[in-house]
Amino acid sequence: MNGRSCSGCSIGSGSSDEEAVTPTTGSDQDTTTEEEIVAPSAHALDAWVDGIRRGSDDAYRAVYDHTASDLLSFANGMLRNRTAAEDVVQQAFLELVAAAPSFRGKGEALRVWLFKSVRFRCLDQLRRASAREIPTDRIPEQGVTVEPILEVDPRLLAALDKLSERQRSMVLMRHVVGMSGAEIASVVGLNRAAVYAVVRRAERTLRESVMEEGTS
Amino acid sequence: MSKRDPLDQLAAFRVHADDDRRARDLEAIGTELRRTPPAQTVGRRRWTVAVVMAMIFAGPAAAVASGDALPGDLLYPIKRVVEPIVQLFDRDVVVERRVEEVAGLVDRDSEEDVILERIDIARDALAESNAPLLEEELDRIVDRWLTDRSTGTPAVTDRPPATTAPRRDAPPTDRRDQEPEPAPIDAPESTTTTTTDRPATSEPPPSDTTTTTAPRDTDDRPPSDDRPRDTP
Repeated sequence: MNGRSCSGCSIGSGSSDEEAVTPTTGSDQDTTTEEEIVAPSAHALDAWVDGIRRGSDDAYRAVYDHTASDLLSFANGMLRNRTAAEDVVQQAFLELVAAAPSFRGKGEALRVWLFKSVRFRCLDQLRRASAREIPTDRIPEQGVTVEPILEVDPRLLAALDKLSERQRSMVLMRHVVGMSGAEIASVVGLNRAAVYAVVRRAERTLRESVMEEGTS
Repeated sequence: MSKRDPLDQLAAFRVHADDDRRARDLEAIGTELRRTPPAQTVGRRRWTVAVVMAMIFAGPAAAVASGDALPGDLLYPIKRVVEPIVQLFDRDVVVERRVEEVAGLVDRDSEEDVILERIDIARDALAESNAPLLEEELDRIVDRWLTDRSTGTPAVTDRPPATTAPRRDAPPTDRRDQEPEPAPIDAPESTTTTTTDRPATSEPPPSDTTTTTAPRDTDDRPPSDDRPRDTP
């Protein structure tokens, strides 16, 4: 186990109560390799950053193939509408075309940039929908209703809706995309300790909601 | 036996872009790439900013530094560009510079053609100004150059001395061949005569009115006989 994984473990280690809520994806394999899940993908983008700056089609294709599924999954979790999520991802890439010449950083920064863009777009859509008092499962632009996600317990979805937008986005980045604490911290603009604290609290809330509903 | 974590269900949000969507997205990206004009890279933009800043700050410095530049120098064009502005404050400074340029070229032992051209330009500038001292200075420089040239290498061309250097608007000719015979020693430099006093001879008549003899090097044409005379 490398140092980065150890640092991730040390944050999770604490009281027995904290350890009970720390598991991230439920499986031991995922908890031991939480940093390694993202690192190879991010470093793979290093080779394409220059091409992105120059506007190379090949570079965009490579970056899209490396990141689109993660971005789409995250947006799908936020909006619960696949079509809307796909549109958000496409808009993020189109925004990247305009911003790429002035982009600084390596592959990891590029991935963070894309997640930031998708997150802001998702939050923007959710807030607009909320302002118009439209149920969150309806996306006004597309006019489509979210298909029910049969695999997810409705109680969990209801509990997810009760989280703040920031908490929800962090939980989804953690459990849907499998992003590391450091990467989530870069996307949401918090330090790593704060990210772990917020995620842990949100996870506890979600679990307790499901348990309470289940027992009652 | 460990209980399954309810949060594992969130993995159901995990989706992948299908081929159709991927193709559409990449097409949209390609269209955007072609529509967006190639933006300047950060490096190129930095260069642009650096050049602009250099022009702002280095411009005055270059203008000052170009004051002593001679024809052929890197800064000489800057000097010529700045001169109209300088001339607003001091008209003679430009003429002075032209004379200094001739001196500088002579000191530098530049090519004869270059020096002759600059002498012409200096004389043009002198003609437009009233700076007799500078004119004398130019004559001294030219004399020195001619002396050095005669004592050093033989003359390369048959050009006249610089004091009679051809103007740019006149073809180079050996005007010494066209000079009239010198006037008699006893002839007055300036005479005032009337037609009544003038004998009717074939001698070159002076003008029919009060005249001053023209400089020898400016009017070397003999008076024509077909000029109307006031003789009765």
